[in-house]
Amino acid sequence: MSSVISFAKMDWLTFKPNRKYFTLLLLQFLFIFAANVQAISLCALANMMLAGMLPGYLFAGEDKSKMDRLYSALPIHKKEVVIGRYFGGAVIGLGCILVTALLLAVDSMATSDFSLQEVVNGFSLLTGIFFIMMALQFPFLFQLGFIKAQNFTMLLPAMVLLWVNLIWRNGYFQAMSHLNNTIGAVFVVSGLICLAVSIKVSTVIYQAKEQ
Amino acid sequence: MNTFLEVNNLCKTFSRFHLDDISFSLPQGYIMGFIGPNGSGKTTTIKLILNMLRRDSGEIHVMGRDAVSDEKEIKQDLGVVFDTHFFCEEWNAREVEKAVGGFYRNWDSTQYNRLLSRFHLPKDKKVKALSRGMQMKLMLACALSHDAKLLILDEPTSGLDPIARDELLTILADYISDGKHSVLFSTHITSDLEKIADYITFIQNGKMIYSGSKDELIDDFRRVIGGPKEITSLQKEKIIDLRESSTGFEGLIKTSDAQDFQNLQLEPVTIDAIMVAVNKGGAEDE
Repeated sequence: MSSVISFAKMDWLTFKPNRKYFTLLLLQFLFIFAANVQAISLCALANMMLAGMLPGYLFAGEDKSKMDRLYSALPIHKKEVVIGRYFGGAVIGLGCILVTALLLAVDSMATSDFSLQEVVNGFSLLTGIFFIMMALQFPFLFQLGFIKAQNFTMLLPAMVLLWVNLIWRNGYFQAMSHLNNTIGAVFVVSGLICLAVSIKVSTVIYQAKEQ
Repeated sequence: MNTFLEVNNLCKTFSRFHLDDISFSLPQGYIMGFIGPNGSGKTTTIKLILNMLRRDSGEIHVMGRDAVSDEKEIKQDLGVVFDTHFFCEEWNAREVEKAVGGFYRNWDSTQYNRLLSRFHLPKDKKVKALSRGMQMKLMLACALSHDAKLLILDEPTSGLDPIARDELLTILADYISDGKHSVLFSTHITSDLEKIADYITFIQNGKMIYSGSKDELIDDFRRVIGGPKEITSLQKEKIIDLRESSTGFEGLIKTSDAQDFQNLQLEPVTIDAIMVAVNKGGAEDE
């Protein structure tokens, strides 16, 4: 377990140099949507897109510096590399979702569109959606690497969010006010099951991969 | 004498390359030079030792343990340096320690900082801003900060200037001086090995040419030099890599044939000259 934590920590250090870039991007969203009455909600939606994209950047840093050679020198099993990468990706993505939830909370206070209960429910829902996105992306990233897989995997967040929108045709954020209290939990559990299957698939892919 | 690294009958086939029946062993307290021309299979062998590739057949034991089943334990005692750095380019030396140190039971932060000072490595400079020699030293500092018993170096001197190469050789000589550590040093710059290697393993086109003592390899050959008309046709047949010019000739002979060349000047050879001669096809039977 300590190797998994160490690997996730290493992933965070690999991702860290990108922090400023993505924070600026988020501020740009706020600026762009400033004229809209739903500026914060739109920004939260855009941030959710980022949450789906950011874990992929762990693979980008790895590809750029050929860090697979570092992993092969370290005392860590390939399975631990995979679990560590999921853990690191989840921490980064959940950080982003937390920002989304905070934006929604601010929005709910400003506009009274959502109750706090709905924000918590929405956070659970977004977390579940994020887990599903990550579960779909990571096996491709492990198999193909960031450069080959990025276009496809970056489309996934958009497709999943489009799917959510299609379910509730009135729009994603408006739909949240109609959700019952258990839907968030259902999404989180579904996401976790998808992640478990995805970890299994990625482990098989990574163990079979020759560097 | 403990064997630190033992490779037996190692085989690996790719679509265009075949590593065929590689065997060698490295005892504790010595440096082995792993030589061969570009594309001969040195890096493939090292990748197999590190489990980056799956072997088709053969065995690899590191400090008596199987390289596959005991991989994680073995790597606690293994230090690795590649030809180019393997750290995230945006890290500095402090972040390298944060990223790597957590994986090792015996990570010694004091030793790491001591090595950074010894190698004159700045702690705040990004890896991508370091020179090639500095990047190599940073990998070496990591490898030496967790009490690695065996160091595996894959072409660490390629692209380095002579001063940086000499520094590395001094560090390696220090490293094995206590008799408890060993080094496998892959390179095609054989002059580095003349200075420090005790053993040589020589492969070419994926096949073993020689594995044994460096001195024995050098003693096996002599350089023969003579004027334009001093050589007989019988002697010509025994010369490996004969080069003739208007002023005379030179070539390599096996030391066992030296009595046939008593009328000519015989000199010691370099590993480089042996490698070139073998590459030209003169001594595959060695």
